[in-house]
Amino acid sequence: MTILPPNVSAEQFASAMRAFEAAVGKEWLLSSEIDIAGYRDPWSMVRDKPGELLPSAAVAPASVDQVQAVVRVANEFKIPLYAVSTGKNYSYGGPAPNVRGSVIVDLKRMKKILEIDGDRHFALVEPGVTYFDLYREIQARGLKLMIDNPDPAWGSPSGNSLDRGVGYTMGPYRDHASSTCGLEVVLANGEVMRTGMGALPGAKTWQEYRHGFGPDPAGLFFQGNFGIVTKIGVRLMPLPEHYRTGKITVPRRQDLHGLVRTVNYLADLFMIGEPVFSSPLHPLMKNSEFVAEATRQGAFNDEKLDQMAAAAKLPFYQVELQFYGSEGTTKANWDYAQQLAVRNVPGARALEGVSFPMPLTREQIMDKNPPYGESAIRRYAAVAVPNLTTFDFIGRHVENPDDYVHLHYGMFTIVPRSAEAVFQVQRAWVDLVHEEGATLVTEQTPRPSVLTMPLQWHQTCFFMWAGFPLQAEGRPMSEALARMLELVLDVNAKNGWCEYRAEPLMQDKVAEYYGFNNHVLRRFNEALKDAVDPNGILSPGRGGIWPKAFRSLRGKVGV
Amino acid sequence: MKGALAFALLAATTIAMCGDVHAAQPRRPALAANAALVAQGRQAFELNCAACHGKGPSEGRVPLLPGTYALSLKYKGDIPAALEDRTDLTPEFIVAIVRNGVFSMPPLRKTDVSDEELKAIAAYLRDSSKRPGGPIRTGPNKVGGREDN
Repeated sequence: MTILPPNVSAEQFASAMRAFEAAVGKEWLLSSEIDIAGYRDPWSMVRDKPGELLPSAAVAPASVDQVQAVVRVANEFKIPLYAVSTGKNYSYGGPAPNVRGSVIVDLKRMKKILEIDGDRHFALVEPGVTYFDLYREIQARGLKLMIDNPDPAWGSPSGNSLDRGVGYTMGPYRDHASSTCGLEVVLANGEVMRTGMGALPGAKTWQEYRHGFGPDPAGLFFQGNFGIVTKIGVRLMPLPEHYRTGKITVPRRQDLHGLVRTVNYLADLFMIGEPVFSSPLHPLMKNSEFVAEATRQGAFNDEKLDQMAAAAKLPFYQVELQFYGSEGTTKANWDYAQQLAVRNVPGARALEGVSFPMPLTREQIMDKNPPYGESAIRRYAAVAVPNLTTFDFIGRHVENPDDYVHLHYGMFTIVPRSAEAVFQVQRAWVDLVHEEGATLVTEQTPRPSVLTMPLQWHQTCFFMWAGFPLQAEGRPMSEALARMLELVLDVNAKNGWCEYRAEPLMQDKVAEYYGFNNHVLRRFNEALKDAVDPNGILSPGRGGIWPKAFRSLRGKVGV
Repeated sequence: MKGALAFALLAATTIAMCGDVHAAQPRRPALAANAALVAQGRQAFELNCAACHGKGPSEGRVPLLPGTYALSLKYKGDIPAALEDRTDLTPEFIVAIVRNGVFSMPPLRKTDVSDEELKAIAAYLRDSSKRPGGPIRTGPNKVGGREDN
């Protein structure tokens, strides 16, 4: 049975369906049971429950004109739309809308690569172009460009950037939202707007200067609901001649201060790509005495932990650095990184990594004898060859042979780029496990501990990851999972930390924490929303922004 | 239903391929049609499936083809892990799995891969399964017929 949008009768809906069909053609109005199956979130906490965020139908326009027509129909019949580019974004809700009964606007058919400039280093693409598509086209044209793809790379530069996704190469490119340059947007009234230099007729700089003149509203379209983006400019990194890695280790826990200071300095001088922090002490997590110390409630005994690391002849923390440039400049930067590390952390040691001309061959990516055991998955990401290898970890694997438990649910907490902040998160989450029985998995560790480390997907801050087991069948974990998420959000907020991104089920909760001055930011956004989208048809609720027509649904998503 | 039609079409094509020499006129277009369908299926497989389900080794370190790897764990060698080696994949089964998803595999929509392309993929897999020991033919990052990383 068709799920109707809120406040829309069956007769009105049937009329709207006829109008949508006229807009996109019969073939591309998708409303059968099997069509709808494709727009469900496979990993939803509320899958098969009454509140599951099911759409009523989907429309798949092939052009900007058709997107405009769809928006006009939605306005006429007050139908909430939910736009997706390739509709992946799994673990952030996939293609499922905030409002049950919405009509999905599936933009996958709009898949033209409109421009790639190998000398000025940008591309202009439609929403349905995937990272695989863009990579293949760059290779086919023989251009010396490198994309910064997320992992998995089956999504689109448009969708991933608009949800502020991340990658794994140099800092400015890893932040996909910040590396966009120029949007074309269909507004709620059906008009087409271009941001930045796109507003200047005849300008050839749309993908080279993002701001244009005056206020730049481009940010409204990221994690927002102010328009449907139909073209996006993406800045691309020139393909470097050489790729090199090296690892720095430090012997004691408190040495993380100097190590982070070293990495921050190198990163902000754009001398390194993504730094990958970890600890070599994981083997000790099989030792109950070490586990007791590493997960001690209240306070860690650093002196004792250092002694245990030293007894095992292992450093406490380490970071892998990536260098891009010429063979000579990568060597010079690596030499300098070693000098700086020793200056900041007496006792720091350096391990040589790999040194390859780019692009790497398949054999080099797959290197069977990596210098210090780093994975080929890491290298795939660092040299930006699109792949889906992340499913080796979150799907069926040797420790999950029945594909029953998916570690596909996580929160990424924004914290300061300092060792002090990392230690504070370790403290807060370890105590959460003790006090609340929380079952968290953290970066590289099966539970929060002194080995819980930051991710530096964004150059200017740390993300600390907390993941949760999500079972595929029966979903007995769903309620417990929701409780875990709320516990972590709450303890984070008490420390001034919060998520950077969330799925529809969690967006109101996350937005609630961004409440400075009586939620003036949300009130400002909703005032804008009501002004430019008076019927509230564009993705109501997305980003915690509820238009007047649907505002009563705030806090009720998935209920 | 469309899947069943595709199967019937394939069966007819196979019969035509095996037909006697006197049926020269009808046989030629049938061959061409089947070859075109297989080629279309190979391309659709490469674009939509090969990044997970391609045929290839795990290279001794990590399984870079998660779908193939997952099926090797599931079937433990009783059934080939690579879809291109499978002889039991009916068009109906392919449609059901692709459109609904299974376990960690999310569903693919008509905007990802059309019903016609699914028929072609079925034809390609049927063709490729005849040469299970053959070389790796597809890959997620192939460009213009060549392997690129």
